[in-house]
Amino acid sequence: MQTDAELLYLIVAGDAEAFADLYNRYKSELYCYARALLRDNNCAEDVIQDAFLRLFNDGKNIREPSALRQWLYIVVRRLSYDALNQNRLLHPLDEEKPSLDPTPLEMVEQTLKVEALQEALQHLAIGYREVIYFREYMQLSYEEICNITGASLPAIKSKLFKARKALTAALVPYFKE
Amino acid sequence: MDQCHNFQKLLSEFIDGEISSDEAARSLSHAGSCHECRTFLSTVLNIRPVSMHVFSTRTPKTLDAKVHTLIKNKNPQIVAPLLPLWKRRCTISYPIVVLVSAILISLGVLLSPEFHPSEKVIHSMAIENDQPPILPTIEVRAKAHMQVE
Repeated sequence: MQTDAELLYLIVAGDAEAFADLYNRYKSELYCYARALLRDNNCAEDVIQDAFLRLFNDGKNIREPSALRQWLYIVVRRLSYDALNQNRLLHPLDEEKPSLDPTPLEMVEQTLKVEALQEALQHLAIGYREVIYFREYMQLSYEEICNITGASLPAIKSKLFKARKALTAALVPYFKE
Repeated sequence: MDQCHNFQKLLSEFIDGEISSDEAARSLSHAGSCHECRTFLSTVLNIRPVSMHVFSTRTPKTLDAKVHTLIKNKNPQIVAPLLPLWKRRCTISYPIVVLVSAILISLGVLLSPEFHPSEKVIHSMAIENDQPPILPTIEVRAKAHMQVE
């Protein structure tokens, strides 16, 4: 499998196949990220489309080809924040019901937890939702989160703690052992 | 209360493996005896598996189509490739490689001394057989040319 840097070189050279490879590599996680920030499927699609268009046009200006993933996250983040500032969105997501394990009781419990977390996340500020996405879903390190968001380490620690605290308050009834 | 707030901060970092073992031991010991902090810890530990269901979603096919169309319509600006030659993708097909190899091998065989003996070899063979050389040498050809002129 080719590295991100190799694919980037090929994209800069006009290789559409390399572009498709890179798109398939990152489309899913970037779309989930944009969707987590924007809470709007159509807008998340537009953001991802713009981000990859930017990669296609400006790929040659990327200073660190090995940090391409981080570059993509930064672009998606910037575009998402721009979209939010332009008030382009703002209906809550029509969430799909997750497909869960078969035991009926577990299914019900799991569904309740998922719905509770979705609901709690809807009420979190975008910056808190973002750190929860990066840490809990993507499992990025604090350092990686700092690199993408441009925030300091203490700021990330503090945001993550506040986000967790807010979620805990909303989730305790559902997550009680 | 403040004490719990501080311990919960530590527990949040403990979950992410970002505190020292001493701090971890201290905060866990506190959580063992504090219901509120224990609830915080167990709830936060539960967020991750559930968040997998919440954040995970399939990329819509419309996005694939949009990006595909975008790139198809876009005329890629070709710039000098930055990739070293040995790392570039090979675009030559196998039949062409086989054909070129066959031609090179044939040329190699045809040009080898066995198929095209040098003048020295021809001379030595002629001397051995006490006969004139079968093929005219360059010198002979040059003399013949001069005679004609």
